[in-house]
Amino acid sequence: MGWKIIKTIGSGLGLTVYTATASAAWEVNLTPGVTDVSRSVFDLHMTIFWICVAIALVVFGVMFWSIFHHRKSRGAKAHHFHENTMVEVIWTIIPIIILVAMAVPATATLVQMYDTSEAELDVQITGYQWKWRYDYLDHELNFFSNLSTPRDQISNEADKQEHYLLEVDRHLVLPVETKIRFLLTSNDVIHSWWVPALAVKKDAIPGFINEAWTVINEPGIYRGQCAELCGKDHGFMPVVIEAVSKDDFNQWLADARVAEQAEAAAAERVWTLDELMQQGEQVYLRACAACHLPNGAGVPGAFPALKGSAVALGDVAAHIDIVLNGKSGTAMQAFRDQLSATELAAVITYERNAWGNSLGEAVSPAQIARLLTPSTGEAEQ
Amino acid sequence: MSTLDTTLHADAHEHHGPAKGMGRWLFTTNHKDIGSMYLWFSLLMFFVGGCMALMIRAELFQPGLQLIEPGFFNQMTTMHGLIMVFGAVMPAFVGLANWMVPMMIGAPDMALPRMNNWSFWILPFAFAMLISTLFMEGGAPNFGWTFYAPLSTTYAPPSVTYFIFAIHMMGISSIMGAINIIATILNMRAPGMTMMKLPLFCWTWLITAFLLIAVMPVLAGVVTMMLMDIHFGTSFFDAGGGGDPVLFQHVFWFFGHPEVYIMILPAFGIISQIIPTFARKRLFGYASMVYATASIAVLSFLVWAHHMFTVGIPLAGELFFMYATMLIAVPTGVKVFNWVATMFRGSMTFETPMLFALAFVVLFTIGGFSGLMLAIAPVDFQYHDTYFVVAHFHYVLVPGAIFSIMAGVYYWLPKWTGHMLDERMGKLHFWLSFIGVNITFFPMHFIGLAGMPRRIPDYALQFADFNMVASIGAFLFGLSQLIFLWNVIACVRGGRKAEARAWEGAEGLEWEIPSPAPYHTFATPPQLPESLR
Amino acid sequence: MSDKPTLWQTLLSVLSGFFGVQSERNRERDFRNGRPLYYILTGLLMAGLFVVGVILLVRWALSLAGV
Repeated sequence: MGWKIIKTIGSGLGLTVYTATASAAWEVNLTPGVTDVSRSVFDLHMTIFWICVAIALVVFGVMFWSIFHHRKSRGAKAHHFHENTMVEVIWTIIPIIILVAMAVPATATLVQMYDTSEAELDVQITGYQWKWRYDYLDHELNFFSNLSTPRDQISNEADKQEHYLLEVDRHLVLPVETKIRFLLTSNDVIHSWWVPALAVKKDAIPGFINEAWTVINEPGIYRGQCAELCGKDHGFMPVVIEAVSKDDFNQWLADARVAEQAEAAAAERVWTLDELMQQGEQVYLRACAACHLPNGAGVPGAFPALKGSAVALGDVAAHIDIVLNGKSGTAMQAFRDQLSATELAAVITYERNAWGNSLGEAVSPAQIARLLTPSTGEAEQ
Repeated sequence: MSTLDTTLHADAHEHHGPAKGMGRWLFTTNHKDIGSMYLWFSLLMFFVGGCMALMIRAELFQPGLQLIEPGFFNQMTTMHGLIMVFGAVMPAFVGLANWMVPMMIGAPDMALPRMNNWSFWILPFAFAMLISTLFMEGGAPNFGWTFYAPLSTTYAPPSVTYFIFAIHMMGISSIMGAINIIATILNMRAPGMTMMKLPLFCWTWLITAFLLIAVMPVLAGVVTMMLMDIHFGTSFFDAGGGGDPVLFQHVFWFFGHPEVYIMILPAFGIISQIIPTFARKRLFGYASMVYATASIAVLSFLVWAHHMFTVGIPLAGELFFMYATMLIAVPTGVKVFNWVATMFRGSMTFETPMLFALAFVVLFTIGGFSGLMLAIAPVDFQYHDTYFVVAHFHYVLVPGAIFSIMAGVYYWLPKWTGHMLDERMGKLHFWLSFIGVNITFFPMHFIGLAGMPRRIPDYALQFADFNMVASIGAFLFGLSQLIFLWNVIACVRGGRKAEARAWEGAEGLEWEIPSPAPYHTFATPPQLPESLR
Repeated sequence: MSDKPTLWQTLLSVLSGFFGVQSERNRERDFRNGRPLYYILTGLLMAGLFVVGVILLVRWALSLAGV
């Protein structure tokens, strides 16, 4: 087949050929999804599609019939009619009737999609450049979800895995057969949270809260992406939902809380410079390297360099402040809620001691933890 | 300065021919010279924007980042869109109008020739400024051609200010061009050329010109609000200061939706000139075409929020814009039936312009069908901001607007140059373009439905194969445009001598004057030919 | 032939414009004897009515849906 030839040519040219998902690669249609709403959306989609096909067959049929039979080379003589109001009225009214018929089920589905009442679980979704934050509002649990595809796969230095660019470090875990309300907003620019299997796509807009809802019927892992252009790494902020049974969901909630406490306890012990540097590098690559680049060189005019920068080599308090609280009016976010005390301490230490920056001093997790606790005056600003 | 002007003026009138050297092009007030400049400029921009498109498609040939960085990728998508919309499609239509409108209505020139010169010469400066941003620190605009705030304000590169002024200049140029076309059509028609005898190309352009005057100030307004937000401390679009990022989208699409019609109504006009010529039969339902075009223009102001179904407008708003969109889509779409009915029982031949016109009818209709699907709001949640949308508007704009421009150029080239086109090369160009355009854009429907968002530099593996196909198609389409360039140059340089009526079935005043059209035509008002009386 | 289009005929012409279909005979009448201003004003008025009509349609649909 044609595509095999294309692939052969591709590999002949020394290009990477990816075969892991070749079977799924020729997907041509919308997913029916796993919710009642997504199924009715799919049905609407197929209905309007077949209507279009039918109209196309008629119109193009007449057209090609004319092209074939009414050509000069076959001796066709031009007739001289050039209007027939009745015919025109009829062929305008028929599509209108078809579309009115379409509008009825479309309205019903839309009304259903807008009914966010009686939700059993509220999840707030906040878009950040370029990650998602999920808050389980009723359970005092929140975390960030970052792309977990390694950089060497993106830069073609390693083979791409099955879920290339559609995998994250922490899944959004949701219970099945539960009405879940999503409250969407953004921390910086407009993002759009989209999971095709749920037929939910809603913009996350700074300063506004949008609502959407879903009831997932089947357990499973459902993947989506940010749909609204949100800057450089718009293509690298996927959504991954893990739908589990209600019992598993409760168990997961309990485990997540225990893990959070362990994390807080870790901040209180003493860390060596090497330990911090090691963890700092990982955190840096995950949270900072998208803008400041893995080598700390930044992008002139857009993202400042950290290598040799006045902030990274200057007063440590100022450095901590900019990482924790961001810099308003720029793309530099406040990381105080995004990273744990240990991670913050590690990444600041790393920035002050990597790529030829060598201050040799460590920022301790305990020091950062004190800044993060709301009881201190500084944190209230 | 005034002496220079008067000498040139006197010169032109004494010799009735073009001035010599660069001065001819810099100071010309001749509608044919200005039309040619518009067309060459738009061809240049078409190739510049096309190279950017090829850079995008080259990066998307395979998953992974191979050629360009994501930041630069965004600059490419943005500049490709801006250059194609404002630099290629719109100036090409203005160029065709400049050449053809005075000749179709029997006028000696445009009504406001000096302004005509100015509205062209603004453009090279506007685009030089826009393109220069590519070489600035922080790079060119990278927020998409729709430049949604706050990505285009608070988070924009410093070059956004140059972008804003470039948009202002393009707007001024468009408004002046539009005023000129309205003044010409309303005031300069030859005796007997009443409004109801106006060729459809003039009608659609007249209505387009009113749309331009109505919406270009809105675009200027929205970029000015951005400018204020960026430099003067206002917060129109900054939620932190009490503004509203969604306001931007409302204002932008209030411009943007009529803009869509600005790019397609003149195309309707061109196709309505070409199909009757090669079917040797009068246009079916001329009256309906005129009335429908007018109503499309009015109603195009009432559907803008169908671009914004996912921003969270209230349910009543969603329903309003869904119903309004579906209602106006129908009379727009069924105009296709009129073209088909024109061909029906005609006596057709298939020269290059006709081939492009036929491809327009089929492929534009496919774009119309996907538009109808997008109008259904609950389903639009799945289509919105995916490659399905990219496929939709490229079907409407490439085999729609751009094929109509090429059809028009091939149709009127004999009149402009006095030479017939080499049909063999014309058909080669057509078939390569037709195949290329479909290989490029048809698979985009599939990858969009399968879930690939637009404007991403890298994608998941399940989208890989169709992306590779689309990229191959894009290079085929792009390279075959070199044949277009070749054809135009070859036709200017020589070829079989064209008669006054270059095509057997052509009707209209422009075919009553010799080919090539003399530098000055209709210095005295013409007698309408028998067929138009 | 010099009879001016009546108000009713003007309305019908504008309506047929919105619908997108008009006969050659009516168009000739409109353009020979009508004043453009009347058609433009009627057109804008009808566009306003169109908006009101669609709004009423939406309210009716919403009341049917019980929202």
